[in-house]
Amino acid sequence: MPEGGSAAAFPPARAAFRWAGIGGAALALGLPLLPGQQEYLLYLMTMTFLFGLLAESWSLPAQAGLISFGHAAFFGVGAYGSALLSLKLQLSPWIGLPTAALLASAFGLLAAGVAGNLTGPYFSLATLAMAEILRVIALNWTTLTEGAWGLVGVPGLPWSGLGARAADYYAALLMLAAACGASAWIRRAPLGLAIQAIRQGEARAAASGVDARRVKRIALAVSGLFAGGAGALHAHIFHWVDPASAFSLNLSVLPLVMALFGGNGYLLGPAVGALVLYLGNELIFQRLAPGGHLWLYGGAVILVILALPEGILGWLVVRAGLRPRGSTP
Amino acid sequence: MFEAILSGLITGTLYALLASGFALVFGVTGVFNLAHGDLVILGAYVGEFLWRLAGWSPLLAMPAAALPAMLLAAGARPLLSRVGSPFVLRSVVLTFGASLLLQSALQTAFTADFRLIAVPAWDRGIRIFGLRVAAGRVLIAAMALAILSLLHLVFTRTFFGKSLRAVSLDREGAALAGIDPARVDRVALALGGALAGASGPLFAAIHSVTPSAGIGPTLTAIVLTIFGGVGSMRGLLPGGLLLGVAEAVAAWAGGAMWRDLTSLAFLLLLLRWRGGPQAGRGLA
Repeated sequence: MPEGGSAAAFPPARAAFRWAGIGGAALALGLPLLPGQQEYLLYLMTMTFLFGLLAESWSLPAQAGLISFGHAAFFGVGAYGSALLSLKLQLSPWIGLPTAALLASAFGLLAAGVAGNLTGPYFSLATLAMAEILRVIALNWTTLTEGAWGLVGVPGLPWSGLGARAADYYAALLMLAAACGASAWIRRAPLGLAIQAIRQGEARAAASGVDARRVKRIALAVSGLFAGGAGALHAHIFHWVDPASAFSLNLSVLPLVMALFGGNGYLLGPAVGALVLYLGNELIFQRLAPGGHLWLYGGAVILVILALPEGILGWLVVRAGLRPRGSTP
Repeated sequence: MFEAILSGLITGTLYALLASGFALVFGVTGVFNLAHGDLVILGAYVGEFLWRLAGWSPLLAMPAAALPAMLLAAGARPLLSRVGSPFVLRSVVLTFGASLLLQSALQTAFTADFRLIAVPAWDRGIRIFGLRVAAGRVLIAAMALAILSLLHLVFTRTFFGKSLRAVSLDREGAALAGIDPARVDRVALALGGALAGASGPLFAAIHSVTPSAGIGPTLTAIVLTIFGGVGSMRGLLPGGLLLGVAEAVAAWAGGAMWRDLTSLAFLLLLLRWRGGPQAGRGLA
């Protein structure tokens, strides 16, 4: 939460945000323990956390002005990496998943090397091209990836004592919490200040001693780590990976839309965006207009750019009087 | 091999036409329009619709295909003035959202089926320098060349074209010289949208299209715009020909997979060479 100048004047609103956070966390931890048949609910929340994780990972480089249009690249590297490690090397998912996430992190370093010095839309385009190149390779390297058929029979998470759904649920929740924790830590660390400085003006940041290339490298590596983790977890949840889904343009679109919609300047903004948009789509929108999720996501992005430049969380914070209108979070 | 090169040259001319609207809008307004390809696809569907229902040739359908795309692009102008800074980045995200909406609208209106304008007479082969090509592809290239030449004349010979170039070089300077940049923006958006829509029927005569196919023409337009030097119109045709030939030869030598990889690799290389913060502006 931002340190608002007028926070002291409105303690009830601040407390309300805090209690909403604590209540939400308690509910999230206890959800699988509640009685009753709730397979579908657990599945929905698992996917919400997964997209929240992807959106949080997208948000870190975005705060330095690196708007990725190709986050599917990280997701796909994680998904294929973990699936191949379990299928070809018979490694346990507990080893395969972090290894694949590290692989995606290494790809983040590569992306920083290729595109790190590009600014604005040029960086975005380079990431889009990289995701597309990986998709074409995954489609055609049939000896390794089985081509368009994809890899099937990826093992689930071996978490004895819990049902498969609950295991997936806690794994997704844990990884989302880890991503938020890392983001919170980075925000307080000098790295967070450097990221902000770069967004506000790279030349000025560099003039005051910020090593912009190094900061961007780190941001993309951390982002790749969590996005790759999301991809790997997705592979183990669905037991299957194919090029069209692992490197789909949708996976590049969703984190961007969710993070901007929730409020990219806030620690929990991307996760809130994922919660509202994913659940809104699954529970409400799909029933009104099946298959019309692009209407929702397209409309959400346009709304944010034109009317809510700081996302719904930013709008709420200003409305609640925690931060004066026009100041930056 | 030579047939691949000739076919690449023909596709390349169409590529240049596809890119012209994008380059014009970006050069004048600074909007990186990610919905450009979707406007092309919109034009493609209009052309396919008229061909299937009334038997219109793609050439005849071009003005009709230009109209809806032109209206949409011109209608976006009041929205763009609400976009805050950083303008280029935010306009990219805005047009990204517009692209998603357009794709949904196309899917609702025309379903997700593949559509192709297959005019039987256009498949007849003719010989150029002893190489066989389909007559329709020659027509497409000729039409694209005609429009590009006309554009070149408008940009270099008319006051209107000169005011477009003036605004793209220096907004404030142009305003001081008595040119209204807001009006030029409107005209550039409308003309850019019309060019995108008009190239749609030609595109659909070569490629089958789906509602989500817009990403292809968008990427092609971006590649050529960066190749030509951001904001420059003159580089589009050489860039288009080069890309068309490179793709055709790569596909001829290594299969269809290499066609896609060629244009993507092109994009990455161009970005590394020219896509820095110093990329020049100015329409010429």
